[in-house]
Amino acid sequence: MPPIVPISEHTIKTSELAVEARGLTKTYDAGGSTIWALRSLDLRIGRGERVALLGKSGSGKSTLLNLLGGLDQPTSGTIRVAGADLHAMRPDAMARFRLETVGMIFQAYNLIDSRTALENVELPMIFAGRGKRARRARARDALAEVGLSDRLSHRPNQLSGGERQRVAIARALVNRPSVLLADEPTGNLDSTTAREVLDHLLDHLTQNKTTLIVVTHDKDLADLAAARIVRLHDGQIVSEDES
Amino acid sequence: MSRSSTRMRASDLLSIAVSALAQQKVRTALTVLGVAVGTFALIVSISVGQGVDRAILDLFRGTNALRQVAVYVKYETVPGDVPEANKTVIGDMSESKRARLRHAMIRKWDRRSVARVKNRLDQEGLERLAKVPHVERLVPVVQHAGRGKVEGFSKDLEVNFSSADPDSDFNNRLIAGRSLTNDVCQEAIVHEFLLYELGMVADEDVRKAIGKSIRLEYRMGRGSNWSLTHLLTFGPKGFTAIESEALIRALHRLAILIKLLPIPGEERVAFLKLLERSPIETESMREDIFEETFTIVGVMREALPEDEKRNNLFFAGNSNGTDILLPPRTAAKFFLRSSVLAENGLNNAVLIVDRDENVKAVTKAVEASGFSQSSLVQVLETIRMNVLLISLATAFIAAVALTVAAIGITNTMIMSVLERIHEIGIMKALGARTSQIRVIFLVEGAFIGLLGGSLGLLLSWLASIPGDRFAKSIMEAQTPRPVAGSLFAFPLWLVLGGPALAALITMLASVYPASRAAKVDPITSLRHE
Ligand SMILES: Nc1ncnc2c1ncn2[C@@H]1O[C@H](COP(=O)(O)OP(=O)(O)OP(=O)(O)O)[C@@H](O)[C@H]1O
Ligand SMILES: [Mg+2]
Repeated sequence: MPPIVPISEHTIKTSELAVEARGLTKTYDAGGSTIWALRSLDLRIGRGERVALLGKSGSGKSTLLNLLGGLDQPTSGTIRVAGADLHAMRPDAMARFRLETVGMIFQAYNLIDSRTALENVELPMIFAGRGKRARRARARDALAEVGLSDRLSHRPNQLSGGERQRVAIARALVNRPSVLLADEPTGNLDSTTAREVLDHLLDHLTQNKTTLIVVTHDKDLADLAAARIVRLHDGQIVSEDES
Repeated sequence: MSRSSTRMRASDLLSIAVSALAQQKVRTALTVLGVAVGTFALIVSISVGQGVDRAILDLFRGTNALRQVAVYVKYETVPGDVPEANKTVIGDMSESKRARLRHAMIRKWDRRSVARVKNRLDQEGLERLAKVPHVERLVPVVQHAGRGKVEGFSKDLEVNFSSADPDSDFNNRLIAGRSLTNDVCQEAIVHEFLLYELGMVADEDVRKAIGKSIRLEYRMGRGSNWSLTHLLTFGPKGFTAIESEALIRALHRLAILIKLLPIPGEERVAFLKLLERSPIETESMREDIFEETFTIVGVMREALPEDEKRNNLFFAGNSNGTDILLPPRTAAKFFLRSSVLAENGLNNAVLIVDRDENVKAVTKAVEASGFSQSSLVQVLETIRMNVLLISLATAFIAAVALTVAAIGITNTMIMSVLERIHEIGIMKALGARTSQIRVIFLVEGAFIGLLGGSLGLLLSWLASIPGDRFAKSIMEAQTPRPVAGSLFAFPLWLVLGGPALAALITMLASVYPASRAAKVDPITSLRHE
């Protein structure tokens, strides 16, 4: 197994870190045997940095993203995201963290089928208690940014795969998160549409200096989206390089 | 992201609930219908209970019957008054049986002898009653026979006169003149038949009687040495002197005949004693004549059966069948002028209380001063208690129906949570707090209740229209007067409380499904799509 060389260790100061994971381990019990999804993983990502996570299917990419997004708890290890210790958080604080600090784009779009595109994008702001008018305007803007101004009142099943993914991106960005966690945002799209969607996303990230961690299988896409590529294998980081 | 409040807005909660319910229209309609039926039954039973209660109150409040307290002289046996010999139980028996028998002996002794009067309704007793707080008017109950002579007519009439509350029902039967001015005045109301007896026959003649004076007299023996002879000759019938003498001769002959009758000796002795204790000559009978003059201010007509219906339901209006009505206090004074009567006092009086709610206090005061009493309030309370109990019983059954509907809601909502587990997972992943998810489902449950409750309210109101007509047709067969207002009452607390209660119950029914929803783990629910 190649040695792990965390190149950012000496180049980024702690106060400038967006993500800092130490000794992150996640195991699952499945039918009596233990599955090691992550093995004592360390990762440091600076503010505004763009990182692509590459690895085979089952290497632990989604697991890592879920831990960073506060959706799941590690078996051991600590996580700091945007200065907050996730392991010390109570459930309500964790919900607030998900609401305000991170944005997530899921491998499957995870839109609510019974709601229109606009309503899906509005949803996070409803939990934040924002007023209807401000919410509407903001959701409309977010959908305009991803080029869906003419699909506001369509339901997910009336949208194409690319359009759905763009709605999911708009929803992830609508609360202006400081960290965006994207799990194969273009996995279901053809290459042309994938490029389009990615361009929208990157535009937004550049404007808002948002940290990006994107999971992908596609090396070209990783090169395009990220300045730094982290490879996972069997729940461990096997190499890091700059694209 | 600003640190704005992380509380969801009520309007958003509601619109999430409504849109979730709207997605399952048939299911929602059925659960709402279940709640509506339960609420309908609940509201109808409470509404009828309230309405009937109000109708009963109105029925009584139409008159001053509810404000009347009848006061009676109280007779009581004081064990000390019973001679020891009359209360000693002889023989071998258990102590408890001896005590029981002794109790019976004292009680039976009372039957044979006159019990002690605790307090008399004499002038002084009446004054005391009149001073009881909240007593608006005292109506001593006086009914007596005597003779009457109207100014300008030589004919001497046999009359009975009684006291009357100036505000009582005879006013409905006045055909000339007016009512009595107040409780104490030398005024009288006369019956149209008296005038007919005097020859004032034509319809318009009754008016001629107004303003005339009438002299009333009654006779009363001075002592208590009464006998059958005395009663027969100077009783209410008023025999003439010649008739009296004939009667006395007849009685003496009877005494001789009794000696020959084949009856037990003791009966014969007692009968003779009864006859012989009378003075022989009428002249020697000691009796006083009391007379007073009144001005006729009104003429009343005969009371007919249909008047009975409109009559006072209670005591102080019993003027049917009297010839002359007198102001109550004046009548009492007139009556109590006889020393014999003054000593014994009246048998009863009626107190009219200023307001319904003070009747209780007055009855207490009356009892405290040693009289017994009865009032419609007690009767009414029993009736109202019955109505309340019946409506509570039906309301209970309705509440059971509502509970059954609520259990159905728990079931449907659990299903709905399972169906929406993915949606719930998304909401949690996007930052919804556990408590927010719980509230969403609680609001959904409460909304079903509110909807069903309001529908039930509307249905019960619609049903009240034919229902009232039906219930009235039953009730009015038994009431003296038509029932005013609806027998279904919809007080504000019921209109608001019915749907609110339904909402509360269905919200409670959704507590469990809501906590199931709140516990959804986003990771698990999002993994499979
Ligand atoms: N809830 C679970 N129970 C048991 N095993 C799990 C669970 N979730 C993930 N795993 C296992 O953990 C490992 C890592 O899974 P993960 O979803 O992170 O892979 P991935 O790198 O995202 O793969 P892919 O590229 O296919 O999405 C896999 O072997 C997976 O089977
Ligand atoms: Mg994955």
